[in-house]
Amino acid sequence: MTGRPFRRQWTWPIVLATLTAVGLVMALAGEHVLWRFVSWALLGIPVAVAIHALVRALRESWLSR
Amino acid sequence: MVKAWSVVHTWTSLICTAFVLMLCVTGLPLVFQDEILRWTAPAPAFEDVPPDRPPVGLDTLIETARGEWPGHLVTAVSFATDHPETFVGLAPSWAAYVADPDGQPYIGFDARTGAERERSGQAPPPSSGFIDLMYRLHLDMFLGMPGQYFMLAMGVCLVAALVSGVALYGPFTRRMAFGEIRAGAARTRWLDIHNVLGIVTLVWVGVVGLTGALNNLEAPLFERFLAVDVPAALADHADKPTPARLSSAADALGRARAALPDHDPIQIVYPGNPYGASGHYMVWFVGRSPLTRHMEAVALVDADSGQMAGVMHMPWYLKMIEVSRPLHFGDYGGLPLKVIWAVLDVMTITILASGLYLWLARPRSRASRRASRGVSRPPA
Repeated sequence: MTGRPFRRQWTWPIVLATLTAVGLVMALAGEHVLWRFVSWALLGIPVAVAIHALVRALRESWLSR
Repeated sequence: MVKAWSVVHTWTSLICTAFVLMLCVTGLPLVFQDEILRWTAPAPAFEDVPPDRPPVGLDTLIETARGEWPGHLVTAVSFATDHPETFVGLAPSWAAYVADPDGQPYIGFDARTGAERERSGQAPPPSSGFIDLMYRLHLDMFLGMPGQYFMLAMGVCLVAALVSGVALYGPFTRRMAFGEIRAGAARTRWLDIHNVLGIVTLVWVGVVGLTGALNNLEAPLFERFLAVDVPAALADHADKPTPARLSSAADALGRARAALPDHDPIQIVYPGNPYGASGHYMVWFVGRSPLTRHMEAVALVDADSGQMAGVMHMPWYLKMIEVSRPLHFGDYGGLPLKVIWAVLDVMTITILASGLYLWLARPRSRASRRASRGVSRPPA
């Protein structure tokens, strides 16, 4: 596989995986509310992407009826 | 190669889907168990106490409890770590305690004022029965250790399903934009949503699944720690008899606290308790940070002289498991983190259900398989 298709296909999965991993560890790092905010913000991105994809699929499904 | 990964993904997923689905459904209320219990059975509020008012001594609380059940012996004193409540457990004899440890009397005090807050014999709220049911289903399906080992095997299947799923994500989405949901047949649309949700939630599902599998090893390893490591550390003190008159439990706690700074006490196991030491108070602590909250350490205090006898920490393999526990429960970052856990849990249920649908609605011929994937022949 050449570099460009690989980057196109895997950039977002790698970015979201990294955000999830860092977000999970951040709230473990300390009890200060700052760590928690960073954790919620980072984990919120993959959650938002997943919700967006699911809503889009359900809407497509409803429109195609 | 794709064919091999496909076989691995299909069969490991099929084996564990029903159980992972059950774990997701039972895990959802468990994420919010503190909130559910607080909303459905609110505990009496703690009265406001001036900060300069000296707390009632621990020895006074213990004597009050002994006065409620004359002739009983004290088995253990437990401490809440997130609110000022102290519980004193008693039993008519050690034999009665060993026969039914959970059926013995106890009394809970406000640790600052000494006011009684609860005692044994009160009916638990119905919501605690629901939470217990969810917990036992989630933990071992009421099968004890065999159930936990079975869940461990399901965890291994889940990890294999995730790894093979990532291996398949490449060839299945090679010509698609990230997050693309193709219009057309329902199966194609659900294949796309399965792929998108699977790759987006991959790390979370992997971490929660792996730490859940590790948690199943915690109980037998902790039992081994209690049965092998702790008695070995106590070997020098094993023949020390239980003194007729015990030194002060409050003083023992004070000395143990000094030996383990940055820790909170969770329990004092009394001398003579079959789960403790014959001649020593065994004071159990946990760490204070989210990382160390499940890591236990134990201090031994001579129940005759009141002097510190030693401190023992968990072995490395138990520490590793305990560090991983919050990552399974999602209880270490406040209510927003629990909401994130719940949404990702629902996404996982969607992935499992869509995977099952994809298998049930699978095309039977090779040509229709290629057509349904919407994948053109890869370049040679």
